[in-house]
Amino acid sequence: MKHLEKHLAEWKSLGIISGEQESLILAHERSKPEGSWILSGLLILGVVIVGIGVISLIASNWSDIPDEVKLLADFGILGGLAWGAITAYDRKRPVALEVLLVAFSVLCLASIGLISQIYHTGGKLYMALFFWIGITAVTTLVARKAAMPFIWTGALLGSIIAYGLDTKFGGRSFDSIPILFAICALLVASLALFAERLRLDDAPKRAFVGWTVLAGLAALGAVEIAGIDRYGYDQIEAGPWLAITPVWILGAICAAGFYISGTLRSLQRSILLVTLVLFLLPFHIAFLKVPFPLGITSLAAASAAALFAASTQSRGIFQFLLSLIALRFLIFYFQAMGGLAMTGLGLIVSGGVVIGVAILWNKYRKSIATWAERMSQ
Amino acid sequence: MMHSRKALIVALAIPILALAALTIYKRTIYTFGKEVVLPITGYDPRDLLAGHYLIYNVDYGTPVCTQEHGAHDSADGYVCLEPKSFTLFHDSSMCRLFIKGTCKNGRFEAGIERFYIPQEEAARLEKLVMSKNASILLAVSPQGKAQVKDLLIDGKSWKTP
Repeated sequence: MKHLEKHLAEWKSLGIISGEQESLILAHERSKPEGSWILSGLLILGVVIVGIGVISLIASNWSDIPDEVKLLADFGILGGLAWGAITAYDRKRPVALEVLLVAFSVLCLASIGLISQIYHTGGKLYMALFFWIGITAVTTLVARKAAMPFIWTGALLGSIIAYGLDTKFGGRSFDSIPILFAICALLVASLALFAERLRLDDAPKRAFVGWTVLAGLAALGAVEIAGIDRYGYDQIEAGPWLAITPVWILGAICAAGFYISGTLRSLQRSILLVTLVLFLLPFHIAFLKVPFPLGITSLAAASAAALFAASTQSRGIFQFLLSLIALRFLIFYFQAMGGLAMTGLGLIVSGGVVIGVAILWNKYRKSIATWAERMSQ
Repeated sequence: MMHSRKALIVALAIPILALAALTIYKRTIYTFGKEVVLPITGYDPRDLLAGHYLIYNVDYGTPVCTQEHGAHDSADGYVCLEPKSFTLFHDSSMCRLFIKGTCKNGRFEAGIERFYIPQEEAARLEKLVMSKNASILLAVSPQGKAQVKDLLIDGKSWKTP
């Protein structure tokens, strides 16, 4: 609101808007019920912490309380939260609704733990998470804020990685981690494209896009750290072909998604396709065991993704990617040059490059922004 | 504001119904399953989701998931309890009371390898399981799904003073 007030005062002083218009705009913005994103954020954080506390209480396993009483209390609280969410909807209280949806979903996870405990169910944590992901999928889709979809997608990706490491796909070494991250990034990118195609609300789309960026960067970072180009996928028990096949399938789904999307312009589709190819390259370099500096492909993929973010006006993602690209440049110079004097020289050169890019960006940002905006029109 | 009131009700009803169905399924096996006692040996790690529990090896009284059986990882397996035997394929005419599970790293996993215990009892029970004759009381459904009902120390429930 403070930001808006500053802009309105500036526009008024320039004669763009009148004093009356300024007052009307401010009155309208202040009357909105969802004024405080800080309040809803803090409430959701509080609910998640309380939920963890409930899980911890269940974990302490009070043998003095009969199992039937524990189950009745659990279902009673679940029903109460569901009733509260419906009431919040009826009374048009969106912040209360979101908080209750998160509380309800976290309690569903606690309930799975309670049922496992009472009936001494075996199995891994990711199995419980997969069940939770399944039963709360629709709850996630009705959420209006990104918190619930973000938690849900994070749980999905965590479960996939845990499942991969626990089964033959993972093998005994950690060489499968980069490819598991890649599978996660492509899967969640496919979900983002489906969400776009099905015209779902913004909240799940924002969560899917956010996790695509995070998982994609994690995959590129992991493949570089593992230096898997030297080892291939030989350490993965399922073998190289089974390791690479899900990447191909999900990559093809993503590519098809770019073309069936109703909102992407042709140039944006091309940028996404280039991003996808550059993203997939290091995993094929690993598959073919070709000695090639993976840092170059990571930088190129991140740059293409940043270009796409600029074209969709996703300022936060664009700036985040730009910061990581700058950081990778520094690491690149560290890796490329040996000795203190050469490293120092490398840092001076890389710093100079970053400053130069910043000056050029500042000078031409308007024309770049105009060009990027044209892409989105 | 969002989709519709109906969509919200469905979104809230699905998890409650799914959890209720899971509870009823578990309760049905617990109540109507045939009771079987099998000896165990074990130790006590910690679960992030559900607190303390004992993990143990179940003695089925017959070798399970061996190479002689042709068992490989993730293969389904069947332990016949009357008469005791292990096979990779189930034949109901040969065996009526059986436990269905999966071979993993040479181990037979049937979802009964865990017994949840109160935190304050963990150390005492671990010692008892190690030093005395420990066994588990199971309820086994006609479909071979087994569920743990109780932990027995020297043939008595662990709760018996």
